[in-house]
Amino acid sequence: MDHKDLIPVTVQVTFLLPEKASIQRWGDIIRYYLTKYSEYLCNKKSVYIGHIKAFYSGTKNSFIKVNIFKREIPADILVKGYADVDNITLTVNSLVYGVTEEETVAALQYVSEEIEKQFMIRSNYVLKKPILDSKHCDHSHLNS
Amino acid sequence: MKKNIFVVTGFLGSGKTTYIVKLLELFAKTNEKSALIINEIGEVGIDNQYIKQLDFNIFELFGGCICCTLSVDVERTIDEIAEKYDPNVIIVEPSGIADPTQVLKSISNKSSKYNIINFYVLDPTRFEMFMDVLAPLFVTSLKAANVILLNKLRLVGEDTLHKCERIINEHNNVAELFKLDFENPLPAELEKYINHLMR
Repeated sequence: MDHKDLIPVTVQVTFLLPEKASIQRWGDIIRYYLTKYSEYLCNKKSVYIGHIKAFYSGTKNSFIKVNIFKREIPADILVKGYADVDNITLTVNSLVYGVTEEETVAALQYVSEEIEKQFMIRSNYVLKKPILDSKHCDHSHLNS
Repeated sequence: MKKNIFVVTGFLGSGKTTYIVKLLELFAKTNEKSALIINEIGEVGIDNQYIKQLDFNIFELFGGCICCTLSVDVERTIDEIAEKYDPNVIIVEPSGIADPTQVLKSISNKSSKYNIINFYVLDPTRFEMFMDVLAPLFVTSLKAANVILLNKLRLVGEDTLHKCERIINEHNNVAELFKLDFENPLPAELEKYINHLMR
């Protein structure tokens, strides 16, 4: 495995519900979203999750933090505080070995459709350019 | 008297940030002045947002990896923190794909002023993946550790734990080993060990 295969993908996802929801409800939605995302990406051989992390920061120190590090293990979720909002913006940081950027975009498209069916929720995502392109070193961290 | 630099290493998703939050909470409780330097890979950091949301101050290093392109930055940041805040302990969290030996090398000239302790957080649920596709980094990380934290105990069986312990012993039988689960409070013996390091 080489570090070049673990290029980080950072996505900002905005979700919009028809009505306001509690932070616990948003936590369930995010967990579902990331679980579907990881299942889609890992649905082929030789794919390894480094991590898939997401964070939502609300008012008054409220937050939702979700972490997936292995497909077979349910997402680890931490919800704190209070929220009553109909939209949230989430930062997702995904490092998955063996997955191309095109496959990542396909996964995001798939989960957007799934989440709309499951929760009647609209979502859109903005893919951020990986920061490693310009400044990361040339040597491999993960020789194999 | 020397102060401490705690370097918390480990592969992505192993529990480094969770451990650091517990350390920061412990230091807050024992009135130890601490500072955190965090290096994340990615356009927008997740761990830094999380730690800030918990009201801890952090120094972020973005735009590369502190084991190589940012090694000068980490040294400079340590100097700045020491000058401005003079903490008893500086915690450094490299990214989860950093080579710990390179990170330690980049701060080795601080060893005259600081005790540098490398805590390696090991996720046994992905032990087989580490052995199959990450063996060089895994072995290097084990060898470089002063303290090994075998995390996520609730998620693995005895067999996997024994395999992990065998490999740990094979590559590093001098490191302190603590078996724990960051879902729970830090074990008393680890707290005692950390408090001993702070004396």
